[in-house]
Amino acid sequence: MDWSKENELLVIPLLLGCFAVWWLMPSAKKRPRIVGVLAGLAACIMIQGMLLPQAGDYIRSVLFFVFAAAAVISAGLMITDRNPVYSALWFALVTLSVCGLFLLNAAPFLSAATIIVYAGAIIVTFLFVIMLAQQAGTATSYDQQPIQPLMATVVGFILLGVLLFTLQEWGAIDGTSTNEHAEPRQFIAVPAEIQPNPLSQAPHDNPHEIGSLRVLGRSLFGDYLFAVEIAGTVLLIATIGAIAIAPRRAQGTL
Amino acid sequence: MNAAIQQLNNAFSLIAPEAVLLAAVCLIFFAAPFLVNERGEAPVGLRHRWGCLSLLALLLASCVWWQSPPVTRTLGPFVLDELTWYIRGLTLTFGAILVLLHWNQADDARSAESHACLLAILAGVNLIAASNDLVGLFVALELVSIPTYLFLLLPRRDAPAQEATLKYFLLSIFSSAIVLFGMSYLYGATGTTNLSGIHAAFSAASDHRANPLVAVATVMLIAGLGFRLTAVPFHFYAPDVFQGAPTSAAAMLSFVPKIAGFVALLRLMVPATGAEQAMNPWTMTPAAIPLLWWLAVATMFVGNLMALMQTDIRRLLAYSSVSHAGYMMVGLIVGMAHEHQKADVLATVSPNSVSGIGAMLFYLAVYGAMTLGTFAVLIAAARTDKRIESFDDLSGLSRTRPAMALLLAIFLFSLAGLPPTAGFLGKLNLFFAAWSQGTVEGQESYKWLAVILAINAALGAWYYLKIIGVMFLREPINRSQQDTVIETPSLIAAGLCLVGTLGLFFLPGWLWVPIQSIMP
Repeated sequence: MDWSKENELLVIPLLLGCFAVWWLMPSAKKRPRIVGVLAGLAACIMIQGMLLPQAGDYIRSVLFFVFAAAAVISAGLMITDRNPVYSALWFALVTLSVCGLFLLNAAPFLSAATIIVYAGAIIVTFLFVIMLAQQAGTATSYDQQPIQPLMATVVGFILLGVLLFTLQEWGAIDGTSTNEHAEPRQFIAVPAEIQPNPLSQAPHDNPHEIGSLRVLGRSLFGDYLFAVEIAGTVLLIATIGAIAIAPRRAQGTL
Repeated sequence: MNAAIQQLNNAFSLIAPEAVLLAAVCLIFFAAPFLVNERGEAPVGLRHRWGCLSLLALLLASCVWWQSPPVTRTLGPFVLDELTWYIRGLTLTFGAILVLLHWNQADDARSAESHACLLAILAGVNLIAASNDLVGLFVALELVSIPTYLFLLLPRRDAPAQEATLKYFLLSIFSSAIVLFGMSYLYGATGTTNLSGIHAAFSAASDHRANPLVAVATVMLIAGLGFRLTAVPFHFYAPDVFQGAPTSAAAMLSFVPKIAGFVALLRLMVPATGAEQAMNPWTMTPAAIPLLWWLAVATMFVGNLMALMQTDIRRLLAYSSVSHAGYMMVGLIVGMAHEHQKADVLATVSPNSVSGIGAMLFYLAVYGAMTLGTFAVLIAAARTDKRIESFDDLSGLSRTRPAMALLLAIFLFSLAGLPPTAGFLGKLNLFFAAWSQGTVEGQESYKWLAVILAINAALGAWYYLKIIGVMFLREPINRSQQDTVIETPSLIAAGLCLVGTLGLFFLPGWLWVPIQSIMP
């Protein structure tokens, strides 16, 4: 009983959210969508207290809520939309919102790279594939309805719950979490004398340079030079493999 | 700064054999299109040339491997310690056997690309063994999985092969994503991607409370890598893929991803220097051991019980590979538990006892010899019109092709773990490792693991002996001598595997001595 009381802040929104996503899933019989929407909103409002960023900066809090709400709502719509093309577009919106959160946490390169890779490349590929697969234009049922909506929702929320619970236990979320025994050193740094990946560190004379292009380039083509080269090899194999798998013109199509 | 650049310059010499293999891959990819005409036809017999070229590349890489002995570990992107050296030898040897198995499986026009993919997969496994960085480890894992998709589809293009490839493709991508998720948590907990750095950070934190982030990372990494080991419940793709894929690809899948998975787990979870990791709550071991314990038990039981019900020989071998992954996981768990003990507790165990990780590495080599040997016989005993699928295709093999039947029987004896084959010795090692760890106070669960292993070895013997019974006791069905083909490369491969399977029983020290240098 103690456990459930301690964690009701976490458990009740999760159950509500799970119900909301399951209710909004496309299904054969029509359900009033408003029930799911209300449950989902209630879940978001209940859990936002836990995720609140450090109090203080007003603008920062507003931006956080705008991006976070956009990400969560678009993610819900991406899962529950009946049309796969719309789902792909909602996914683009999720990516953009998450990139906003990255920017708020002072990770401009990560944010830009995510936009280029996801919104620029992956979602365009998704759209190509969806449109090529639906050439006939007939509304087939296989991509209109989920096969196992209940199982998928429950498993997804169990994963989410375990992750949130772990992060709460870790005690780094904020002061209002129920963790009484937060320790000051929740992170552990590598001992200073070891210095792994020395080229990725900021130079001693200018420690503020850590996010700069210069350090990024030195890290990418210094410490991670071999990883970049091997990634290039993987791409070469994938490209040539795609050509080798594609049927030749003389052999007709697949 | 200068030291760092020096380290990078030296790093290339640590992966010289892989550089040779990848250079051969590029050469084959570049040369192949010039030898195939516009309609996709190639001169007859071109596949023999590509096979020879692959063997030559492997031979060159082996020469380089032999001349680059283990060096002391640095913080650079690669390590070349005894484990790397041993795994490299394993992949290069079994890589040559796989090239022989694949020799006639792909047609002349597609042989070049599929041989190149095989070489890339082998280079990827070696790079996993050599990597000292999370990023490098992940890229090396992808260097294994992306060529695997091509290797599954290129030789044959019919519907079963397409279905098998697609299933493998989707699940493999899913598992890669999970591995990446786990790695991101590991990076979040320690702030570095360097594996030596991560282990150093762990030992610096040994007096702190256990970190839940590390536990999440452990669960995710085991789940993602469990796909490659075909550990239950991540095994369900295996029977379908083995059934649909070409025989040589099934042989590759039964062995190479297992090396990749086990080596990646070893690199991530077992630090090179064991002493300061003892009883440290910050390492991945406390979360990993109970999880792996249950996974191993489930893997052994599900693999063996499902194999009992199969009538298709490939599905049976798929479940058999699942159960063997379970046996090897026993060795891994025992080894990790051993590393996690304090020295004074360890002193109570007799010093002659078998180390779990050593037993696992020994079994890996033995398993490679016997399972690739089985597949080699399946390829060599096939008829011109039909490959071997059901038990009926094997019935009465002892009358029509007695030598084949005898070979297959030896490999199946070894898989079942009966003397005088190396499979017996491998299982015995794993059993003793688990049993001696179980004698430590408070570690009785490992005794149970040893008992479960023994029960499963007995269960496994049942279905292997059933195949032998079909071959020797039943009458042949529609088999005539005329429609057999002579598959010289597969026969050579089967002969090499036979030497390994029998030789390692009589001269195990030949393999055991290098293994003992890996874990002090």
